Amino acid sequence: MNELQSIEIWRLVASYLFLVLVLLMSHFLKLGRSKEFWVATLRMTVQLVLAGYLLDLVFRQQHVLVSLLVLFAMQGFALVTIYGRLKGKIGPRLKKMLAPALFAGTTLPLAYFMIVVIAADPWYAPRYFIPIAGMTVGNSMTGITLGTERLAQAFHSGRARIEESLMLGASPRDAAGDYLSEAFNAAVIPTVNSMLGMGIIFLPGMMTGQILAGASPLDSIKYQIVIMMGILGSVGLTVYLIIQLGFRSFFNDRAQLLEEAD
Amino acid sequence: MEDVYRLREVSFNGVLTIPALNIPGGSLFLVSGPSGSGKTTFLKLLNNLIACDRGEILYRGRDILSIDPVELRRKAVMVSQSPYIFPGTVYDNILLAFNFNRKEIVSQEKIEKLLSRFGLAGFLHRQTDKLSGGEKQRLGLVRALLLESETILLDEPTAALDEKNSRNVYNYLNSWVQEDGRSVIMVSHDVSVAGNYTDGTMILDKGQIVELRQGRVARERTAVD
Repeated sequence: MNELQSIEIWRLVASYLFLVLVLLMSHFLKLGRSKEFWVATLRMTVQLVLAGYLLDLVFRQQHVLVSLLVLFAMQGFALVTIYGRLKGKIGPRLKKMLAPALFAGTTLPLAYFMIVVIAADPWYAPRYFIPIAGMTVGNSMTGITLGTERLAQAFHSGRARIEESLMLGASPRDAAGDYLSEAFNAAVIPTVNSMLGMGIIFLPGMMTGQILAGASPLDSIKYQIVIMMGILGSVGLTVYLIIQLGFRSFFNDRAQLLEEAD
Repeated sequence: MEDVYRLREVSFNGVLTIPALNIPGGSLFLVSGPSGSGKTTFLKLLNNLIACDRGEILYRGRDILSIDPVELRRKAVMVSQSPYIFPGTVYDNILLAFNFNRKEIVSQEKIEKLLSRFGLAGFLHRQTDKLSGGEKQRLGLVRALLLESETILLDEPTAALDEKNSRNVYNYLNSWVQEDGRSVIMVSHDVSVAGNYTDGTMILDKGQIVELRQGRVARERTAVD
């Protein structure tokens, strides 16, 4: 296989022609969104350049603490994003459960993945650890946001049902029953859907990147398969944890349904 | 018979204050009063759906705080004013209530008997989204009564029913309390009809007791029809 063909700076700049094209279209259609396009492009460029330099630095370190630090930073940024998306939609008790669910739900599958599946040497080898951590945390972030949102909605619109169940002697878990499985399904469906179309409707970004970088398609599908499994596991575990920890946050220790926080 | 509930110095959020109240077991106790007087709050306190901020509530001599809350609700089942009816069939609803209550479901024959007692004969496999408001209310009642809990707490059980159906419900509850120590605590705004069937009445207004008629009235209620 050929080595990756490096993109010269002027060719990189040439790719921005597409931005110009979109800006022109936006102008003619009077969308009034041109600011959003160039801000997004600018942010994407700056963020990726910084990430590139940072990763370059990190890859040269090969230190367990550096890899872990990057993981924690990703989890931290993911949490901030989740808090932002769920702002005003969830109560403080449910919010407190997000960090432990995301942390445990991404760290455990990642550890298994690095040690057993990839068997990288060393296990924290940043070249493997960091991109895989990024995909795991990123997908779990989407999953946990969807799951938490759905759970909060269910407890809001389903109060009468939950309360009636409690009156009949249901435990909080029984009373929340279907809402928990619905929230779980809603959160993992995007991951499952992306698996369904994979290889037919689209080639995943990671696989495309590997092929571009010179890997054989057969090697890159193996990576893609194990990574999809890792993502499925981590999204599933994260969502499971937030649902299990989260539904309890709607009840107090007397199994009473708490008033909704404003 | 020992009191099913005793309340001492109970208050909730400034909405309800009960200085002292004893509700004898094996009786039909009526709570009445205008809307917003704290009737539903009262029932919810007894079912431990909400907690009082002050005072104590004893269920059969035990502080309800010392009883597992889910266990308490299985002993003192409550039905809300417009009971939530689960999607599925009438039977699904009854089965679910038994599952919640961790009880073995009773025979289909027994279920059908009670359904027909409440004017729901042949409804066992009917989809609940086809039921009228009154039918839903009666299903809510049947679902709870079948559980045969020690105590049943009913919030306006006849609100969606006509007079004939209401009397039918009261008569049934009447026979229910005569069985070994079962107690019914019922909220109804309609003291003139419901009052004919009860052993004790508490009238609330703005969260305070304005009238308390305790003690067992002579059981002549079977004559009321």
